[in-house]
Amino acid sequence: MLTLVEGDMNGWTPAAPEPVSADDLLSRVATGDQAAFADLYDELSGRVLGLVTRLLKDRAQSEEVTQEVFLEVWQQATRFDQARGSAASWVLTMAHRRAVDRVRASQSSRDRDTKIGIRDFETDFDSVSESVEIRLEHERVSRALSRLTEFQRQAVQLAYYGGFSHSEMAEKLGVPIGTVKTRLRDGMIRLRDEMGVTS
Amino acid sequence: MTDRHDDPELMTGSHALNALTDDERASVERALSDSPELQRESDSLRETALALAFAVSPIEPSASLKTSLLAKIQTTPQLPALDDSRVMPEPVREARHASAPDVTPATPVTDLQSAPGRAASTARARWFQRPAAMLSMAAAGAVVLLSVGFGVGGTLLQDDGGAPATTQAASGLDQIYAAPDFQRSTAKVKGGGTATVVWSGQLQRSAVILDGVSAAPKDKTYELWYIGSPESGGTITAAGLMDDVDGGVRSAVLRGTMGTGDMIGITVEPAGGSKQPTTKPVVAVPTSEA
Repeated sequence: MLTLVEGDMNGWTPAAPEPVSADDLLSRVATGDQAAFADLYDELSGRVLGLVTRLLKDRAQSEEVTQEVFLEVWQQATRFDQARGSAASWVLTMAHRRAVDRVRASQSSRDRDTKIGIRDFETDFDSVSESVEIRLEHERVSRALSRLTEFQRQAVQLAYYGGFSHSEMAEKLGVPIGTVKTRLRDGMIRLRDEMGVTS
Repeated sequence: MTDRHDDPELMTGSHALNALTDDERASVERALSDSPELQRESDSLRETALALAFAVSPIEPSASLKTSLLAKIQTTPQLPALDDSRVMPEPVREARHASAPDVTPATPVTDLQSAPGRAASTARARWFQRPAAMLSMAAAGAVVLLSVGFGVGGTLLQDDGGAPATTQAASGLDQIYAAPDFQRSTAKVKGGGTATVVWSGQLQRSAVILDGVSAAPKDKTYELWYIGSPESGGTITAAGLMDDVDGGVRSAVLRGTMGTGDMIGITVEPAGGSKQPTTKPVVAVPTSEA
């Protein structure tokens, strides 16, 4: 881990030329370090806005939600428990929850297009312009998703990227709710196993 | 595929993807706390869901978002660290009221008009192993936070700087969202639209979010009610009016306190409201205990 340079608490001097991990930044944010907050924002805001926009589509609303997420990060940083996961995971989990809530509250399901979720995972991704890290992650998920049955993949994507509840999905897809649940669970288990996620 | 779709064990996937509604979440989380095995599965699936988040292309936010955020944190207090402090229920309650004096009897409860951005309550519950009593405190701390981003609150929220006085309703709603025993349930409203009730037994509070419910007829209004369980005598208590329902998303925190097992009902009443319901509820949502 990097050693943080002291004395930058109030200034904007970069602490170190090397990137500081989001986890380190978040632990500094917890002490009220606004410069660290700004750095953390720089580090994660693109990911948060990307995820939120994936669900909400509307750019202005997505920026609003992104702002809510980061204000929550600022407030709650003191409560972050590193043992439960990385800072980035924590922030993105919050972002997803808020995006789902916003999408359900502001766009009734009848107005939401199921095609949003079904749209192929690939088509929303511009691999040319992305960093290596994100290309890798995308590649990994993409490969794992391809191992799912079509129904499982559709269900997982509708839920995660479309913000649909499983009852909404059951209605949209015209299948029993139990089927949706099973697809989501089997799909996620398969995805997990394909990606070698351990917990 | 199966009829056992109420089985929480089938819902770990839905849970990881935030695809649950209503009390399903609560039921899953109860099951998780009873079964280490299920908890492991759930954790691994949530971790898997994160991979889906990490695979999304980032989008660079506008520069003004950062500027505005950095300005906002100047005036946004951080929550106290948990450490070993154990806050007793009583001071917490005071703290809650002190920073969120949001229930003003005698006024309609149409105090929050925008769609709520629900706090990541489950995520919080998972990550912040804080004592239950602290949660209400934390929620009180979220007052300023929630003033931002709603944007539809008209005069209520016109001060973006987060003065607590402007955010009373939002804070009431967010307290409920942030409560450890937060639950919600959605029901169809007679005549169209849905009513989602969110509540916390611990806070004894609830709120209603109407979506797609058309405006009350001329000279009428929607009135909210706490309907006591038969065990408690079945008393019906007026809990405020919703005057601004117009087919969009509208929410209101109910006035008064929610009793265990209360049902939340909405009726159409003459403008100004009634002391007791004069019509059949257009929707009634039970809030059975977890």
